[in-house]
Amino acid sequence: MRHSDAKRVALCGLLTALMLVLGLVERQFPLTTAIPGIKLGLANSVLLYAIYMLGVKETLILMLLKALMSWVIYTNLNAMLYSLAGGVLSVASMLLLYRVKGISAIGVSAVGAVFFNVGQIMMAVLMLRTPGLLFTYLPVLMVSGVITGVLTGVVARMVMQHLRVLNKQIK
Amino acid sequence: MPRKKDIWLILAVLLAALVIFLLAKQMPQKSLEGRTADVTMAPDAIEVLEHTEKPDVSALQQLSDSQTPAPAVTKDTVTAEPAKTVPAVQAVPAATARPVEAEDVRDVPTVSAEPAETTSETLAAPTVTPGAATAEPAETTPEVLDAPTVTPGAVTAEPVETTPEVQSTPTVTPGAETAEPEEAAATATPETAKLAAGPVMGPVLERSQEPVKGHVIIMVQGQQYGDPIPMDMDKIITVRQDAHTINRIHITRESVHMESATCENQDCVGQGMVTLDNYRSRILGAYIVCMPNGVTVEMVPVSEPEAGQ
Repeated sequence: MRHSDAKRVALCGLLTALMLVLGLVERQFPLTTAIPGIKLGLANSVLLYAIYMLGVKETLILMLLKALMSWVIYTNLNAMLYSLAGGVLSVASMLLLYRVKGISAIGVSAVGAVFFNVGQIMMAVLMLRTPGLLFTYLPVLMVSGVITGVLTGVVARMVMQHLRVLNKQIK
Repeated sequence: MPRKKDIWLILAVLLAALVIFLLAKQMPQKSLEGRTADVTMAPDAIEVLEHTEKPDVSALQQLSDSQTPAPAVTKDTVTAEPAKTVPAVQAVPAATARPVEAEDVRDVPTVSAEPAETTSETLAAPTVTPGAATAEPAETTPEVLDAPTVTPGAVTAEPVETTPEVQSTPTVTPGAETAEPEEAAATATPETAKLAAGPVMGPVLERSQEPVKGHVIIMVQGQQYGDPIPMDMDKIITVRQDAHTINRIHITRESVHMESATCENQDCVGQGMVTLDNYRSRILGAYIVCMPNGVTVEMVPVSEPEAGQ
């Protein structure tokens, strides 16, 4: 039992590091500079993996850690708040959906990505007090969220299929 | 591969996006009401790139003072304000030929004003509306012949209309109107006319007389930075939150863009320009957003009926 716990903690740490690294890598290859907030969101696939393979608690911890660490790394409080708002909404929506029968990781991922964007823009509107931004920007982010979400969902599925072995060992 | 429900889920999200998009299109046009400053702008925040565009009475005065005699007359006429008692002013009335009869100012090729003068004139006539320029070539010409310097006065005729005081000045002399156009044409070659009249009447009128087409609202960390900034000239607004958080916003008469920013992702610079033409179709609408620095720039175009005036 203890052995397994240690493994879980180690895995959580590993996944957190992975998310941060993926985030850093993504920054080097922005999809577009014309629209802020649009990114591939590979960290999303890590969270997806956590939801399916680790559990609710671990997923939430991972999400919080990622937001916190992004603050430490980028020394930008705004970035952390955006990340946090997006992360909470995203994880909540994914946790609600992943148990629903007939919805695969791809659908969950897409919705999660969309809600990450929604949370981000809501936080931005709250902080910047520009409500007009919400309506002009939200549709764009929703569409981009669907696209990137499907992509990361596919990645997550492929990863999970190959990591079932590891998962068995943990559980 | 995605299952059926995945597809439905995704379609639902896309539908929601569409609905919000359509809702956004339906939103009423924004107004500047209640958009007052939360934070006063730093005194050195505005950097004007082109000084000549903004008409400034005091600047005009100075310019006119420094001018050579001939131009000086013109300024007097130009300024056409009652206060000015310079002898040259006498020309003014004539110059201020009636708006009613006059056609578009730009049609006045006869004006023989020198280019140098014209710049000062442009400054001088800040309030002139394009339509106002009413002086007919014919009218103006006589003055030109009599007192070459006066011609600028004709140019300035527009101000007369627009500014109340000017109107009060004793205006049009009938004789002036009767003047022969041919003479004027002879005196001024098209080129010179353009030089003289161009800056003064044509482009300048368009520039300085046209109402501002929009305003720019800058929000910094949720607080409005200064009152809405009219898009009246080429200028750069510097938003300095601290030594390492600086955004420079470039405003022209037609557009707004982020000139530079200290944020790491440079998204706001990449978002390009908001112009009067593209803000409806642009992805971010009339906004430029610098999320890391917490700065948003919004262009609020003057609503249509106003703009049409």
